[in-house]
This record gives sequence, structure tokens and C-alpha cells, in this order.
Amino acid sequence: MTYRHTTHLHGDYLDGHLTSDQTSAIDNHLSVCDACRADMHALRSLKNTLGNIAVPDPGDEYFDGLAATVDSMTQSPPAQRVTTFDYPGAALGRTLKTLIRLAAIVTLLFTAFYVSNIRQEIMARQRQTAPRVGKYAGAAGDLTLQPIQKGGKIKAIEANPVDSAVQPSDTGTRTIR
Amino acid sequence: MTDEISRLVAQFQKGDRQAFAQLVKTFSRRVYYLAFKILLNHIDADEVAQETFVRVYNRIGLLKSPEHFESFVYRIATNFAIDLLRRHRGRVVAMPEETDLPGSIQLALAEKVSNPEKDLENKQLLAAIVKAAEELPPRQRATLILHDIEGFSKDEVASILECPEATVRSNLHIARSKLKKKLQKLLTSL
Repeated sequence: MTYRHTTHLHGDYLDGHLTSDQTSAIDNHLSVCDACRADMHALRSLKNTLGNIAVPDPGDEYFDGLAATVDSMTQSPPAQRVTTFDYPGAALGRTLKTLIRLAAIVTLLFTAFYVSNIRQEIMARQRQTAPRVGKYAGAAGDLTLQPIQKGGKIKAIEANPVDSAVQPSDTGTRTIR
Repeated sequence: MTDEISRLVAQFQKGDRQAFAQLVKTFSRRVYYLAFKILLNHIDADEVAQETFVRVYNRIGLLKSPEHFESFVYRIATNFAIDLLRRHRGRVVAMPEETDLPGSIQLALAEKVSNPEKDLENKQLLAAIVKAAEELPPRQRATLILHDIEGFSKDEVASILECPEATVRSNLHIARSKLKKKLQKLLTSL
């Protein structure tokens, strides 16, 4: 261990905050390092001197006077904890705030529900108005379908048109999204 | 003792003024001594002692656990002393002569020595420590006093100063190093 390595631990060493391994490592180091030993001695002397410092008692008379002064300065009842809401009408203000919050939440939920319903309705309408595959077919068994591809078109081909008024060219097409 | 203090605090919180007077009597010396060691003069220490108990009286509603009353009192006293130190930074406190009581109250070493030479040495060391401590930043000074002089543990100091224990360790290390550096000659001769 070098000089630098132990000086920062001397305080904790004297306070007894080091592990037994660290303590024995420092003990070993101190036995061979004069500089660290001097540092430890100075720190120990400082700590002992600080621990020995005392303030002479100013006397009972002073402390009696202090108690009397404090007593005269605290004649009114202790202040209650003051919050930012403690003004006249604070309770009404708090109730209003709660109501506004509740109203905002209800409005938000209602809007979400309404939008969701409208969306479903639009989708249902789109499904109803879109050209149906096999619209002109007399029976499902009469259709042959082309393979469906995304972005492509499907075409219903009538193999055997039942209604003579409908020509094969009138077959329905629909874009697949 | 702690149970008795907790009981007094609980009574005081219910509005018992006698309980408060008893608490002032119990803590006034310790608060005054702590303030004196931080501020190093009687006038400021007296101001801190008075103001601490007035604040305790007004803020007792904020104390949730009566068993933490001691830390609560020291926190108020230390914070106010630190504020005073900052306010008085650079101001030279006129120390009255030794004969002018009570301003003449000076720090001393509790351990009395019969040897006059040793006594003089101690006085010189004490004067040098006081001078060096005056140059420490307020929070470092408070940390050093609370830990090394008042004997609080590091976690108690952290609770009083409302800072992490790591900060206490760091401030203590820096404060001790500064004092050691300034007092190197005196300390090595001990």
C-alpha cells in the first residue's frame, strides 16, 4: 500500500468503520510507513482534542432567562399546518375541482364510445354498399373465383348466367385492400 | 429518558404548555452548546437557542413521530446556525473582554491538566482549532462539530443535516484534512 492509499481511510479507521481486513492492512502499512504514521497521529490528536472541547456553562440564571424569553415569545397557540387550500371557501373549491375532473373523465369516455360506434357504423355501411361478389349469379355453385391478391382485383366469372338479360361482360369486380 | 421525552412531546402536541416548558428545560443546554460550538460566540448562540425553541413551538405539528423530537430540535438549531454563519460571513464578531460576562464565555478543553506548560499548549491548540474552524464552510463546520465534538453518528448527522450519509463522510473527511493541514505543527508535537 502506498501513502496515498491509506490516508483517505485514516478517518474511517479512527471511527471504527473499516472491515477487519482493511484495519489489519492499514496496521501493517503503518508499521512500515513513517508518513502515514505521522498523518494518523495528527488525525488522532485532532479528534481527541475536538472530542475534549467544552463550552463552559453560562449558568442556571442564563438558562432560566432563556426559558422565560421563549415562554414570552410563544404565547399564541402553536401554528397549525397550513396548506395552500386553507382559504375561505377552500372546501367548495376542492369539491368543484373534483366535479370538474369527474366531468372531464365522463366526457372523455363518452366521446371514445361515440367515436367507436360511428366507426363501426361507417364500416357496416361500407360493407353494405360495396359491390358483392357473385351479385348477378343465380346460385353460389355457379361461380368460379380467380385467386385473390392484395391490391389486385377479384372478378366473378359467371359460368352459366341464369338471367338472360345479364351479359357475361357485366360481371362484378372489386378491389382488395 | 427517550420515553419521557416522547410522552412530553405527545402532551405538547395536544397543547400542554407545561410539557413544552419541560422540553425547553431539557434541551436548552445542549442546543446552546451546539450553537456555541458552531458559531463560536455567545450572542449568536443565544439567538439560535431562542429561535430554535420558538420554531419548535410553531412547527411541532410537522413532527409525526415524537421519538424523532431530538433530531427535529437539532435539525432546526443546526440549520439556523448555518444560516447565521452564512449571513455573518466576513463579519468580524467583536468578542468582549474576558471580564465582560456573559460574552466572555469561551470554548475550553474539558480535560484539565495540572501541568501549566501542557495547559498553555492546550490553550494554543484550542485557539488554533477555533481559528481554523472559522475558515471552514458552514456545512463542513457543522458536520465536524456534530460528529467529532457532539459525538453524533454519521447517520444521525445525515438526518440532522438532511443529506446523504456519503455527503457526511465526504464533508467530514474534507473538514478534518483542512484542519489537519492548518494545525500540522501543533498536532505532531502532541
